[in-house]
Amino acid sequence: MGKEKMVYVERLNKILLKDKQNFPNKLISVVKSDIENVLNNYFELNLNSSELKIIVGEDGLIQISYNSKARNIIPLNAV
Amino acid sequence: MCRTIVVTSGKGGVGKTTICANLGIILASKNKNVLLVDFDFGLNNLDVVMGVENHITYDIFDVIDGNCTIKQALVQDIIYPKLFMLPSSHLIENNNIDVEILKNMINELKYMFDYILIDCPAGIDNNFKRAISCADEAIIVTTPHISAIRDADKVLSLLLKYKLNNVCLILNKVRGDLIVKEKMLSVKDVEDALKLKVVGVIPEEDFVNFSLLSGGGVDSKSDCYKSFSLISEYYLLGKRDIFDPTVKYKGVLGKLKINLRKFV
Repeated sequence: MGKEKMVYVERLNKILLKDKQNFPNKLISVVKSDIENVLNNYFELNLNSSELKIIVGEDGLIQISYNSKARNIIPLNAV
Repeated sequence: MCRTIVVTSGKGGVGKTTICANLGIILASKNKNVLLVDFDFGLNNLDVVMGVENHITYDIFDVIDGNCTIKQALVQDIIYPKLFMLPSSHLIENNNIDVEILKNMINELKYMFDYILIDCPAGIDNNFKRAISCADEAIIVTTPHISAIRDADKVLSLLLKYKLNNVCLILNKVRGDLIVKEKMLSVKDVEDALKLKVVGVIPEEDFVNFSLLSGGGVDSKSDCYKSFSLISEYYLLGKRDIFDPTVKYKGVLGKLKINLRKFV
């Protein structure tokens, strides 16, 4: 591949990756609220301690991690 | 069973309407019942590309308002009797149309046609979402330029939500001479960047501009026609055979053609 084209392809890939890396910022609050709604059925969550991370790696793969503390487990037959 | 395919891109000016019209023409010429639906409310041009702008009595909004039946709003093509169009209006920019009304309208038409091609507006606003909601499959149109590919990538991410059966890519305005000279991204470069299968490559041809303005599709002797014909085979037979725009610019004669193009 010629140098000029290589620079162009690299630039394209960088732009696409950057877009993907920026994209989760808008997602985080929505996903976090959805996860907490589900987990609240099973745990008494301490919502101040919860944290959601969505990181798009250089290879384009997405790493999702959610951390939270809970005071109690809600028994399954508690309804 | 009817296949409902939305032709979308994100970026404007990449050739959605042209591709929608010409794919429809070729499918209809191969004896399929085809409907073209213009979802580009307010900025519609499908009627002009088809050359039927003076044959429109009712449009999609007349159907919604109850001024006519859906069949009355359909415009039959002058050359291809199996090709119909459901026109939009350039006078109305209605952003409050319920997507369910449009979906019901398309569902009502499905039993009459083999293919329904929806011309999606540029951008990713509500009209884009309405157009996607009415389709089962999508064609993303892009050109081999960073801005168009970037928008195509964004549209591709948005399409994931709609869980369509089949999402394909058509690469438009491709110049074989520039690809050979490595001054333009190749089909593989675009395929690798978007991680999406290309089902069609349409070369940029100077004389296509005029043939489009007169309606009736591209000249049957042109490379564009060959390309559309190959794309139609993908949708008719599932055969993925892509037009190679670089062939005529390879070898000694090809180099001569590249040099001659500089003087055109």
